Amino acid sequence: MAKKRKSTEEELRELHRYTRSLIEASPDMMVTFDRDSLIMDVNQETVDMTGVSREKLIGSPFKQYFTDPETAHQAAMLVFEQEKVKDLELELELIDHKGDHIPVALNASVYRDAAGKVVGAFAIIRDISKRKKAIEEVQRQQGEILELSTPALRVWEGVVLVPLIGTIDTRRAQQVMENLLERIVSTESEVAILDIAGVPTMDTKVAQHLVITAQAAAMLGAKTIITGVSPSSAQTMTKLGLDLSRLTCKGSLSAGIREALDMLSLKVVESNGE
Amino acid sequence: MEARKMAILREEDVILARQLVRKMAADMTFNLVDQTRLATAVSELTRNAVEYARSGDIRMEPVKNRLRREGLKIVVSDNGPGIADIEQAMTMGFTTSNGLGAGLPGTRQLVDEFDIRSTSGSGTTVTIVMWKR
Amino acid sequence: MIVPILKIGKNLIISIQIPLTDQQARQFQREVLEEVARTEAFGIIIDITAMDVVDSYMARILSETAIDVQLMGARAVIVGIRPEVAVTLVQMGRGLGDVATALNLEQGLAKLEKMDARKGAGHGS
Repeated sequence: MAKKRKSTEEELRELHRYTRSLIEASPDMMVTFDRDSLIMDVNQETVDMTGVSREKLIGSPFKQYFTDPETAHQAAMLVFEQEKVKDLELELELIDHKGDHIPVALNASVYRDAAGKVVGAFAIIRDISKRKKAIEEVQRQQGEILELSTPALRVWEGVVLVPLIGTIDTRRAQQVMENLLERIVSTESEVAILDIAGVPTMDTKVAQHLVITAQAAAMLGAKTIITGVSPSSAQTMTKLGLDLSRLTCKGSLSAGIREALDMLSLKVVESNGE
Repeated sequence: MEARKMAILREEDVILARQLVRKMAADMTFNLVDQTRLATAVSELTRNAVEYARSGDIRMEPVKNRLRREGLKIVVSDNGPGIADIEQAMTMGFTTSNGLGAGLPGTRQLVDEFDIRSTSGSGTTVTIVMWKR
Repeated sequence: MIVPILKIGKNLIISIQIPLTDQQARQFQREVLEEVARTEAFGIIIDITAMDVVDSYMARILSETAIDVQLMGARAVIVGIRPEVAVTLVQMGRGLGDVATALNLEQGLAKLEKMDARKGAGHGS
């Protein structure tokens, strides 16, 4: 009997060593804390990240390792309130051993004793700086694509053309507007052509931006010609009930260019083969 | 970046306030159009403070929302007579002083968030926020 | 004078180089009108290239000045409005009214000349 009991103890110890080594080997920080958000236990990653020894970490307030302790404390309290939190990104930033600020996400749940009483919370704190960087990179690239997708071309002395292709959202409409006005000034163009033949649908917000663009261009001293207006775009623009009297519209881009040259008192003539 | 505060007592302060807000917006890398929108909004609001209340102050503070988006929050307060009918004041073309018709409603068009609180007899506070694009 | 006014031929060139307070703006308006009367100028050009903010009050002073000048029988063109200033004014629901504008001084002078050719035909095109 004694021998068997010892082996059960041995088994339990083995199991404990096994789970403990899993926790210690985790690439994420793992922390348990009590209702006062005082740290009860940590894994090796937590020690490595914070650069604070296990002995010092245990018993210290959870919140003190973050750039914004108040938010960290609230996050800890939220765990007890909701019993479980998932991917909480309360703008938490951990201060690492080099003093750098590391953005982290918090996954946590409460744990109970044998009687079912909540005794603490178990939290996994994940370093999301790489994810953050990737998102920022995507956003930067989106910005670049945006810029490339809305060129402002000088087609003639005094005429600048912006061909719009693809779906236009408010952000892009704003960018188009700013680009066009900027180009009108830098190329000293008296006429601007906005070709919207390549725009499948136009909502009222975008139409509004086009009208604002034309009004702003007029204020600078330039005229705007809109070409390639589809039936549905035309309806959108009419429904807006804005002052469209300053807008010159032409069916095709070539008709628009002809109109632009006309405004500048220029004419394209046949050379009669000479 | 730290919050900044300045008193608005004279017409010259309107120019100083908008130059200060433009500098803050530029330091926060707001684009040129948004810098201009903010500077113009501040020009309108601080003019109201000088014109109606003779004195007031402006506070400019960089803020972040829950999505970590950066913004600039500006609060212009005065201890003037207040606005009896805010709804009327927010209507295009309404004016009780010299050429302030577009002041408040125009300003609202320029910013992402606009809040006005006023009590007759104890002043007006306008809070605006613009988020970075 | 709050803003220097240059007379070149029959036209006045007025370039606003510094931000104006409301009071200075009213003084500017008065001085321009007085100068138009004194010199019997044919036209004026107000260059606002240096203005990085034009709020509703300044916009009103500018358009009023241009309209007053026209009432006095002269022509007026505002030049050098910055793109960001134009966007802001339009968005505020503010314009410069029916005042003629041009991108720069050169195009502004050309516009004044065109007005010259069609005497009494009004402003702009």
